[in-house]
Amino acid sequence: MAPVLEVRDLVTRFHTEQGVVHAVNGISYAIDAGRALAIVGESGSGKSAGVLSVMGLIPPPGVVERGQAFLKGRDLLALPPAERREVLGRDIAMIFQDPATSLNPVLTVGFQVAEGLRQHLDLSADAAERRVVELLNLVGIPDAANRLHGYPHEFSGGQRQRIMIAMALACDPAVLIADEPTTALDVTVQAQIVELVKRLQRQLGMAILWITHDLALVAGLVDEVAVMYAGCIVEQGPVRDIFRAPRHPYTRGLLAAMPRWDADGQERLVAIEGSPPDLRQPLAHCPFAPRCPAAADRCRQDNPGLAAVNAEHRVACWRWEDLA
Amino acid sequence: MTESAPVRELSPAELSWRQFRKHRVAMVSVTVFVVIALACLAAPLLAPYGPDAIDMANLRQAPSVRHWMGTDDLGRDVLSRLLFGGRVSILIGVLAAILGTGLGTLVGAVAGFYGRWADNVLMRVTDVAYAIPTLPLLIVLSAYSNAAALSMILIIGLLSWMTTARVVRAQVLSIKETEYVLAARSIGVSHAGIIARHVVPNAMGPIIVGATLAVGNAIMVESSLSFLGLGIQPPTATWGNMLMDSQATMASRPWLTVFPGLAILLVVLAINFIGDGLHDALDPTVRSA
Repeated sequence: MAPVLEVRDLVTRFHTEQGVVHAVNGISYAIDAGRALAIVGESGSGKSAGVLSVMGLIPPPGVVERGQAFLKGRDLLALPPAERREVLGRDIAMIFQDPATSLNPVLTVGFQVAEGLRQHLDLSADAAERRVVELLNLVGIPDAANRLHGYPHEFSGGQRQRIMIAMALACDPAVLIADEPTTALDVTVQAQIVELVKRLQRQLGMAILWITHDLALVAGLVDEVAVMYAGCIVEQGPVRDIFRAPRHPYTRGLLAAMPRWDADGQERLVAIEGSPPDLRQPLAHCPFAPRCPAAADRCRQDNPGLAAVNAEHRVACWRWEDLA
Repeated sequence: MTESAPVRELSPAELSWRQFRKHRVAMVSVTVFVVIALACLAAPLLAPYGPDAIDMANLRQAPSVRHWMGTDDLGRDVLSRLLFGGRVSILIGVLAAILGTGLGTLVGAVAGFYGRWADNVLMRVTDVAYAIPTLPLLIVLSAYSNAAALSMILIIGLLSWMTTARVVRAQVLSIKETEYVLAARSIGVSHAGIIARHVVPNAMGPIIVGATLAVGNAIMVESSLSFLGLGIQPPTATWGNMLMDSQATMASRPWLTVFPGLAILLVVLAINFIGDGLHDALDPTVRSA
């Protein structure tokens, strides 16, 4: 089956006054219809810049310099802006980090959820309102028929994120991009949102691209994980393999840095030494080499490409076989 | 689900109205302005005489029971002229303010939203327009126009958009970076749609305040021009040309000066206080408990 979204060799740079920031350095991934991929990485690893590039929403001075993003076979990055706007919201939609700020405070939530409908579908006012109620019910907003006349400040953070999801789902997109949608929420609400997206994915059969820095949160939701570091995908594979048999020293570091519920209280959390590289220089070597406990001379000279561990699992490390 | 619904839902407009009502001076000003405006609007019903009705038998009468505000050199009733003149003055003020604010909002929103060269070009034009001394230019323009109400509105409106443009641009610069604008773009809303539905409504507070103050300003400008004899021409009464007509007799027949002057003062003062109240009500940073 052809993937519903396929990104190839995406390069995004920010031309700032302090120099060119190499935010995304040739990432490729693909998602099949109805499947879910998580892109995991720390702040500044280029995971948000990567998806905003795909949507054509990268803010200046950011520029997508190379690459393709095929959505149902059409390259989004090659479409003229007007045609791309027709695809956005209809075939691919996005939810954002902070539900407190991603809803317009002066418009009713019903109006905002209907925005995509007005944009893409030729619905009567009645039909649009019925659809909005249906969507709000779908995402679990109680008493939707009355509350669609409410304003964002009357809803809790979790409810606002549900409304955002309803807004994104209005036209039944094939792909939903979730850019850390739970970061600003309480832990219990985070789990509710993840559960909601999981249910909606099954119900509607859409593909999901979930951006996060919290591996554990999405472990139960996604099929595949791509780990990003310094604008590169350093490891990619089925979620089970990434958790049980991580190959890249950075992935191992990330997993070791996660608190474990079954620890006896004596273990210390293991932090990864050092800090991410300055992205203003193009990276000739392995981006993780300066922090890598297993770095060899070769790691400091050449950048390893992704190599296959097995049919599904790939890693960008010169020494993964030695370290296995 | 444990999330609870609030007892009553208030829109942002309702919240601002609650805040505005606490501003006592502004509420008094609204009353004053509304009373004067309604009285002027109903001038044909309220005015005891026609605005241009000449009464040779009663020239230069001091205020009395028959002529509450006296009569002028041609025996015309000052109160009647004041009511009819107010219609012209207030109409010019309101329409010129709407024109200036609308134009300023458009320029500011486009400059702020698109940035780069659009911003540079529009803001330099704004700077130039700002740098031109308004009153001399107004005088030149009105000297060449036919001094009808419409041309007064156009002249005043087209010369008073710059402040609004700058204020709106500054607002838009921060609004366009918000996540709700990003969210709107992510579902394919066009630039025009984003500006109209997301950017401008969120900048509405300063726009409304600016528009209110612009009404007062436009009334002042119209009065100034009329006073200089360049505005609306007699016999059509405006507050400004009534003042002008009376300047020679200011000492001997003060009622001809005092009443139109008072009308301008009251209305402009009221409008400025309303603007002040709106500013407090619409700007969340000055909101009190």
